[in-house]
Amino acid sequence: MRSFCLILFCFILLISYTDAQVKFTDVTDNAGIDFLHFDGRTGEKYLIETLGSGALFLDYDSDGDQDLYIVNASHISPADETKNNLNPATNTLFRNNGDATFTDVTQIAGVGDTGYGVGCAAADINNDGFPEIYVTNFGINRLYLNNGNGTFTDIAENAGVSDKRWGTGCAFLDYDLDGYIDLYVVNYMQYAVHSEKGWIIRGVRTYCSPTDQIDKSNFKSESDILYRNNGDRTFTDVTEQAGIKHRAIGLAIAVGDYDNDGDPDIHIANDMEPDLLYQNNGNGTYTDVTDFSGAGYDENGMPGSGMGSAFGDYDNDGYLDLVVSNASSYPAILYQNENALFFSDISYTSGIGAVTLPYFKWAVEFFDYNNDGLQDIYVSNGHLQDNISLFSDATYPQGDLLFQNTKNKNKYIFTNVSTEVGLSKHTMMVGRGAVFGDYDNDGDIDIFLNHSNQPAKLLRNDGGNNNNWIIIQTIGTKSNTSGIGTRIKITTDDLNLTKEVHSGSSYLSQNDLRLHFGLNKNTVIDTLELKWTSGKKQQFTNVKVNQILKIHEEKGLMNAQQ
Amino acid sequence: MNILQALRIVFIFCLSFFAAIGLFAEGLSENYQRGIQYKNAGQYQKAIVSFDLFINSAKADSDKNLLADTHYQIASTYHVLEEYNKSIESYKEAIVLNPNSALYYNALGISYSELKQYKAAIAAYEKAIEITPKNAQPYYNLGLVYLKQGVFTFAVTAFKNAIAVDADWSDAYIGLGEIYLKQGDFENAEKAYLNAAHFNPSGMGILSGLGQVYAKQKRYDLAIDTFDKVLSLESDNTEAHYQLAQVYHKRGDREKAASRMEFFKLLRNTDPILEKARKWVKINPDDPIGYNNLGIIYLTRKRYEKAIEFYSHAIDLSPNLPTTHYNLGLTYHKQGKLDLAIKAYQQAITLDPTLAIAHNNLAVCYTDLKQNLEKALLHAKTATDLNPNDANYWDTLATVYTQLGLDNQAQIARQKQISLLNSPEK
Repeated sequence: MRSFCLILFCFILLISYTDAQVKFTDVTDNAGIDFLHFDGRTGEKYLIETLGSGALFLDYDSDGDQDLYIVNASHISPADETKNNLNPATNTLFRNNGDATFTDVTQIAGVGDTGYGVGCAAADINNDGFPEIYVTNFGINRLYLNNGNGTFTDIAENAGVSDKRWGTGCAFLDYDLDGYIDLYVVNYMQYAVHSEKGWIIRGVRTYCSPTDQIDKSNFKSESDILYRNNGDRTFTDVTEQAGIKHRAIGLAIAVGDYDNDGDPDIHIANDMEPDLLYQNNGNGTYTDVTDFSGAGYDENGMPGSGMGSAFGDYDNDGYLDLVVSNASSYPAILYQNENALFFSDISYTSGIGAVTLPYFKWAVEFFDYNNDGLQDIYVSNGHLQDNISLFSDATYPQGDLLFQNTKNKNKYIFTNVSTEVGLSKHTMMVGRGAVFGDYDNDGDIDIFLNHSNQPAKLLRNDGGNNNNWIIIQTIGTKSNTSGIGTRIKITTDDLNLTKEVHSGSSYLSQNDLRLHFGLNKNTVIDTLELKWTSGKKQQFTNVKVNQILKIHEEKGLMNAQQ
Repeated sequence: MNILQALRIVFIFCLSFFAAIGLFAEGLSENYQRGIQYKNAGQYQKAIVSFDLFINSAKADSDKNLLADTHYQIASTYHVLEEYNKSIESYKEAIVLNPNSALYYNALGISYSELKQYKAAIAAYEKAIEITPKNAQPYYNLGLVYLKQGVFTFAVTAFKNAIAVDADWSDAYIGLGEIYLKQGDFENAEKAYLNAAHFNPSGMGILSGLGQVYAKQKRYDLAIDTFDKVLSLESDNTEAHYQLAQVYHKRGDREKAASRMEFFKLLRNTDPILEKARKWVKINPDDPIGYNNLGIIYLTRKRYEKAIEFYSHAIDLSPNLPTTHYNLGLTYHKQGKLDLAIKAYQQAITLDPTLAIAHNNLAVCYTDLKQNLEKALLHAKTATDLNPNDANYWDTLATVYTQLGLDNQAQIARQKQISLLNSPEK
């Protein structure tokens, strides 16, 4: 009996030790990331100053490592710029040098948009193997065509996607499964900076909520846009005909095949209004299924203030679950997908509800930080009001949260491990956009954070790769080249994992398109199955772990990188 | 939300208690008494003016406790008006004069809590507990603050402390039920709500909570029965309609689910307007338009008795508003109380003979009653004369003609209705 206890004790120690080994290290300076987000704040407390901006990981030069594109806001009006003789804030592209450092190549690449930048997404719109970048602005949106030689050309106008409204989240998706990647752009509201009303609280000017802006003025919530890719570098606005008819104060989009029928569905997180779930009918149209899906409200029928949104299968049942971040006093909501019949709000029982309640939450994402095969949840926080501490216990900068997913007797519980992994130390900032990807190709997921009006941070995952892993890049041929929408299932001795290649997600951002699977202690993948958006299926067996795989829709397995 | 409602009830109870003391105390100054009277009558701004006058006229040797209570009255009035910064300032003034009042600290905590200044709220409640450790109220409020912050362990302790001090404190059981429900401990949640139900079997918060427990446990019949009980108490309870819609959907009863969902959305859309209208009449208690607006919102939410109450109050304040009489008539009409509807519509057209819709609805009432068809015809004709471009009025006229057996005229009116419906302007 004594021996048994000793073995058990050692086993528990071993588990604790393994988990405790994962740390996030701030490598921003060492990596050469020098990015300061600038929102042009004037003291007038214009609502536009509060949203922050997104960022994305992409491999723009197809050299096998993840580059970084960061969106910046700007001066509120060009007059501010001239008056103060200031250089415009620009979006920035950092090329990954392959040695864990980055070089700013914005100028040479020609992607330094100086508009009031908000969100971004990237995908290969012309199936030439090089990803394009789309940027939403408060103003004209940009589509940067990748010329394949390290430079880009803005073709937004000719492509028909240079919308001038206040764009926020955006995502590429092949909604009609024709092999060309389409584009969904979320819009916020009709708004004019100098017409807006501020709030005065105790004699102090503060930012006014979007719904109050609408109440007191001619501002209106806005409709979104779905663009169909015509296959010739141009797009057609098909919003109405596709059945996307709502107007809302939209912020974020998550795309995923929640009902496992092979086509991409859409979730929109709306600020201070019910969120929306659109089910793809498989014929180029969508049906708003929010009401009975459960994904528009919390369990009591209360709409939140949706900021970020992400799909991911946290319970490994093969159905994509959903997580939505909200403003403070309302939790981040984890919705369990119950066999595609409805989403159940399990925020509190899962462990994330109570912890997230006081935080003002923005980016939210599923990712497996410790490679144990379970999707964890990251939430980036920072208050909207920069002077909130005058009025409440809350602070403007707020630490981010990482919830570790653990399974116990078929129940999945999320535990806040932010302090243990070093996040509390690095993230007491004004969080907004967050991007997840393996920038150093070491098999674990790193985090890039774009803070509001503050320097950005790159946090390297140290120790996540103590468990085994695999990273898979999908290259479509009949399907879109980026492989967006491809579903991959991995089966090992004790894991059944499902992931889908997603474009825009979280908050105004896009993650590494390559799919990362934590495999715990499994040393071989029994089966690896792909279902492409073309309908083609592939299966591979006895796949080695700890490698970066490229899988081609026609040719199958390509070069592996250990 | 249930907890918040409970909080408000507790707070109003405190107000009434002190108001009662004020009313019955002897030797109080005129301004103080007037302030209390205004406050009880919902004339909050006037109450504050009176209390201020009392304070400003107080002398150096005035009764400190009475002065403290006056500050408390001002504070609690500001609290009702949702001016929490001002209520906090006044509670603090009261506490300076009477630092041993648990009541003041407790009330101060509630105002801080409304502003989400939870640390200050907790400090105030703890002070109240220190002064009167045998009072359940501050323990309960402390539990609410922890609940709002998601600190469930502390909230459970606080609610249990409230129960330890006063085993009949049913709201504390509701608080416990809410936490257990959130934690997925449905068995204990049910027990807590049932404990609360022991004291108040038809408490809204209790029934709502129980309904949610049953829904989570997939005891759908019981959940439906429980939410129906909620709606029998408050037919426009937004949350209950949502829960019912979801339960019906999960049980596969699509028709009922859709109907509940439709009404839920209507309620959800009117919730913020209702909140604003309620606040408006608190600040402007003499404004008949405010009560008229409240009536309109309740009519939309199919709370007819409430709508009638507010329209009647608007009419009491200003008997000469034709639209309020019309709205009252419309509400009776919806209830099928046609005699009362006719009376109200007639009053509306007495005040404004050009109110076409009131004429039209009068015609509809007479037609439905199948009596006084001549009057029906007169009013239907007047409505079409006043507004010949409304297809509905021609529909009414056609119906009246048909009932009178005047088929040719009925046909002409019907054609007019159809042409209007088909016109591009329509």
